[in-house]
Amino acid sequence: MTAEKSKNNKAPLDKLRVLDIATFIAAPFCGVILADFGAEVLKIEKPGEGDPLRKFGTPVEPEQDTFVWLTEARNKKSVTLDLRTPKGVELFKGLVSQSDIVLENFRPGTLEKWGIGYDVLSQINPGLIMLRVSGYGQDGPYSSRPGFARAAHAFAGLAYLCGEPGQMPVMPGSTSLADYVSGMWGTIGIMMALESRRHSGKGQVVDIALYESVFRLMDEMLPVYERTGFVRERMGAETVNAVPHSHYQTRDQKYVALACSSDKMFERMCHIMGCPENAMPDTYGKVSAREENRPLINKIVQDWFITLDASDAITNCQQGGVPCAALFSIEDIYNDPHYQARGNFEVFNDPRFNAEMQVTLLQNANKEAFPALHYLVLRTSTMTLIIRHEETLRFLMTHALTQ
Amino acid sequence: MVPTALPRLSDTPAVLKNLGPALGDATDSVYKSLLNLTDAEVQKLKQERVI
Repeated sequence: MTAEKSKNNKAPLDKLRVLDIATFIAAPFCGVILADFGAEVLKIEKPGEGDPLRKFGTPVEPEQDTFVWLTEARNKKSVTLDLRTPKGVELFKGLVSQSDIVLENFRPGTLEKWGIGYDVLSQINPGLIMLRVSGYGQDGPYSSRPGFARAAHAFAGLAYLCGEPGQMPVMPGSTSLADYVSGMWGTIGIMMALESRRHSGKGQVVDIALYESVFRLMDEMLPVYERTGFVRERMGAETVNAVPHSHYQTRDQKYVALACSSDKMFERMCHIMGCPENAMPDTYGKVSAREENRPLINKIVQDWFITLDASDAITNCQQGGVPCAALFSIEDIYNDPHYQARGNFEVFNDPRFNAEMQVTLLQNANKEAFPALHYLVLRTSTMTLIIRHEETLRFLMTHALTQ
Repeated sequence: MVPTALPRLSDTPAVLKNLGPALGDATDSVYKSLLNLTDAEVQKLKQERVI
């Protein structure tokens, strides 16, 4: 993602204009992807208050927009417009006549109520492509229900599978998965609609339900149930159809993820662990035998991992050709050389937040007197520090200024 | 700092031009350039809270 590279190559979507009239993440995430690759994305926001995403999450500074806004509305332009007024609708129609794509995630029927359903807008612009993201889709008995990603995770069968057997299901790691995945499905749909438009000249509607976006990712769950009646249940860190395929603790009290998804992989793992006899056809070489003996297989693997620190265990697995990774916190991610080498973090100095001055003040701090602070400066972005340790920062600023 | 954009394209990679914009940062320019509104018209629409 370098500026020099892009100078020689036009952005792939720079001919497209997108009107993003959606809120929060689901449809707007599609807008971010399009904007990242050159589309002009106009974020249409209610005058005065704007997208509620601006106030969702951790603010960059008190009363400021949040980090999630800065991240997930990047590369967009903000245009205020009240679609609930007749004059606003007229202006919107004018913008539609000069745009390629509309992104929306109001409850089904809302745009029709305002007189700007696809039937109306496609009269103005027959090539218009409209992404409609909603909780339950544009039709069906639940279409008018309010939707949110957490409810989508539940309705799609994902939340039911998360947690320990017989215990209350837990949140599957993120409450925004369905939003982000819907934005991605939406982007796929728009790319296909654009290709179709190239031949037909006509636009179309891309109808995405939050729950469908997740349900489509549930591998063999449906066909297996339909054929055998098997109802998949919560299995903690484990999974169906593969053993060992779980999390294991290491000597240094860390956790690693191991995925032996085939008999071949288990054979390799047994060689790594120094017990090749466990991978024979008459022992546990076949997954059916391992599934019948889950506790025993997991014990064999766990007993091996607990003798090693995570880094050594991962190295051994890697050398033996078995996929294994540490369970990373954001701190681990931030400090990982591979993330750094792949350029997965992008720094952007935004003049609105005066970041340079703050960095200078922090660097002037007496590191010996404030070891904890030094640690934070090394390990987190300054903005995070300012938010989470406001009092410390105030003290530090006073200290730095009086030095 | 934000997560770098995906997917990673070899010839036409994503470019980070700005973070989430301030509310209405392009309101004037968009209405003037796309809908040919005058300064006075834009001001009037703002007073009416339409934009």
